[in-house]
Amino acid sequence: MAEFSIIKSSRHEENFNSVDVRNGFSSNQQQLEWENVDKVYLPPEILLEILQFMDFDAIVMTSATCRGFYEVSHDDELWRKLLSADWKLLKDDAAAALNNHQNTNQNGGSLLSSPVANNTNSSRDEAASSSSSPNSYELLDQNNSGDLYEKYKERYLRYKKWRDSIAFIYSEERNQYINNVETQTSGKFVGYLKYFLSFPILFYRLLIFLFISQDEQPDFGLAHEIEYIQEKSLRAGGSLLLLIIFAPMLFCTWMIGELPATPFYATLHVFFKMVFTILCIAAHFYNRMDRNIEFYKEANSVSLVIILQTILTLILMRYVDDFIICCLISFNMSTALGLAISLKHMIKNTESIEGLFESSNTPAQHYLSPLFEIFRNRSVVTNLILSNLMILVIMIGGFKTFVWILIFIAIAIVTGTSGGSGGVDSLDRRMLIFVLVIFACISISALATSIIGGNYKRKSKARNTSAVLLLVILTMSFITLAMRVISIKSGETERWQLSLFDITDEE
Amino acid sequence: MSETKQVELTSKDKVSFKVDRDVILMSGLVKDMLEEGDEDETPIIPIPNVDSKPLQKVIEYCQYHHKEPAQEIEKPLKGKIEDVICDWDKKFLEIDQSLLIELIMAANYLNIKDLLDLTCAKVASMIKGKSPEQIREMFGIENDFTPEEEAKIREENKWCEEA
Repeated sequence: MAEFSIIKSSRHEENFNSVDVRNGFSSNQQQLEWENVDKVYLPPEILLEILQFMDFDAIVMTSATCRGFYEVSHDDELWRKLLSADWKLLKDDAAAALNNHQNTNQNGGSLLSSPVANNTNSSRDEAASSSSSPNSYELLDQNNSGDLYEKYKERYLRYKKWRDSIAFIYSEERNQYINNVETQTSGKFVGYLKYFLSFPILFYRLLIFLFISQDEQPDFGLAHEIEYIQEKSLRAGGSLLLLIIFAPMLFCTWMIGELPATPFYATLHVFFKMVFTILCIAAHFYNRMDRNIEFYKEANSVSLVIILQTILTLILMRYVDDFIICCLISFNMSTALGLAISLKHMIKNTESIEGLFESSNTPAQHYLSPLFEIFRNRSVVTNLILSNLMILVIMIGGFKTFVWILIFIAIAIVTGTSGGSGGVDSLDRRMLIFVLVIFACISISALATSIIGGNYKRKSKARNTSAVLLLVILTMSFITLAMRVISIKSGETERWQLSLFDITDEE
Repeated sequence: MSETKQVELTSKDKVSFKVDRDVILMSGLVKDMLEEGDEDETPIIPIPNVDSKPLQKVIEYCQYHHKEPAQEIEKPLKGKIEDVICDWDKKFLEIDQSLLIELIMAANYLNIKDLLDLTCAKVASMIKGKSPEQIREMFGIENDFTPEEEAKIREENKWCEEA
């Protein structure tokens, strides 16, 4: 076997390939005079013992230091341990690894499991252990061992590729944009532009992340990456939050542009929408949302923006007067907060992060199979993110929407009857919708309140149910909105009039 | 069993240490030798491979740990070794690299598994996050690769960089 040598002088440049201890000593006697025992040879068993405590990257680094370490660094036993420690082995892999393990043990592989015991029996003479010729082994030509090393490598590369493709990394890139913007005095505009252009790509990547199938998703969970994943999830959460602010904003702006009562008011509305958007962006930069969620723990500024937006929406209702749009906006705005808190909460409360990455195949989900088809083939972490998103939306969004709807109703009752040509008829219809929405909000909020917090894994069924409910409601409200747009455009229905300020200057 | 029997250990540089018998029984090697040897009052056991300095450390370790067995160190080590070992061990490991290597050798020779684990884990922990050059520098490992081999290895190891 190869020798590994340690000499006390690191400055000693003499390249002695000789593995024979006595030769080594005699030929370098003069340089080494200043120390008593200058050269220590560690047998491969000890090198292996040292490597066993290392991570994969440390092992790879160490293997590049000298022949001795290189020789032992491809050992199967070493990588088997790492495979099971760093990755959740897939089922067949685990079985194979187990078989392999048993075989190795039978074939005298006990060298590794009890290196010390083995050593006692073997000769300890340094001279004896160093008797092998340095030329007797072929470096870089390992045939018998190293399969598991290759396996680990392959798995790691797969994982790395996957990780590169998801949003985590991207959010880091985006933070670099921010840093660039901050540090550069010139070219700020380009920095910001680049930053905002990155949103569509981010959105796409987040979608990939959320809906990646289990086949594509490696059994990730490198032991030392847990913190990384935690941190990056929070950042991704922050980014998602921004998206959730922006998407409905733009949607509503577009929708309202599509059904202008008068061009003037429509323009006004769009203008205000833009103001909100700018406010949101300002809040984002103020809070450094996707850089560190701690900054907006209480999310005061975001709340402020939401309140402002609500007030302005209420005022604008006079001009644009679409309840559902207003509800939706408010709803979505509060979603933003919800999501951020959700992600944080989720990560804090999950007892072991490793549990997150197990696949979920609870039979309870099958009874609503079409609906759960999305959820079924995802890992728990995806489901958790999805469903927590939903729940927090319900929790915070639902509650706030409920309050705001109450305000709207009050306004409607006070002013509705004096409204436009819709008259009592449309007020009744409105009331009906309100009642329905309120009912849904209350029930889901109550459900969500009982679910939030505590053990996330255990309550997954209830969470998923409420998530589906929320999806249904969201979809319904969007459909309602779309139908409103269609019917108004085709002239079947008139726009609702809310005469809060009793202005009736429309044609 | 009589009260505290003693054993005399003689190091490579002919320094002898008197140790309680049940303390040094932590060493698998000494245990084997004592079992097959006759029942002297204080048997003298030569330890020809270990210098007095590491031997003294080993005895120190045994004296502490024969009463309080060391906790097993997980493999692979997560984080730093300082986080998983007791205060006494931390202090015990405040030694320079060469003594640490000698300790590993001694622990291996004397067959003291806990000490071997501890010292190996310490080395592993020191290596963590270092480049090959830094590791060589730290432990004075000679680079016995040819330049071609080194380039080949560097190529091969590229996969785990920028982890």
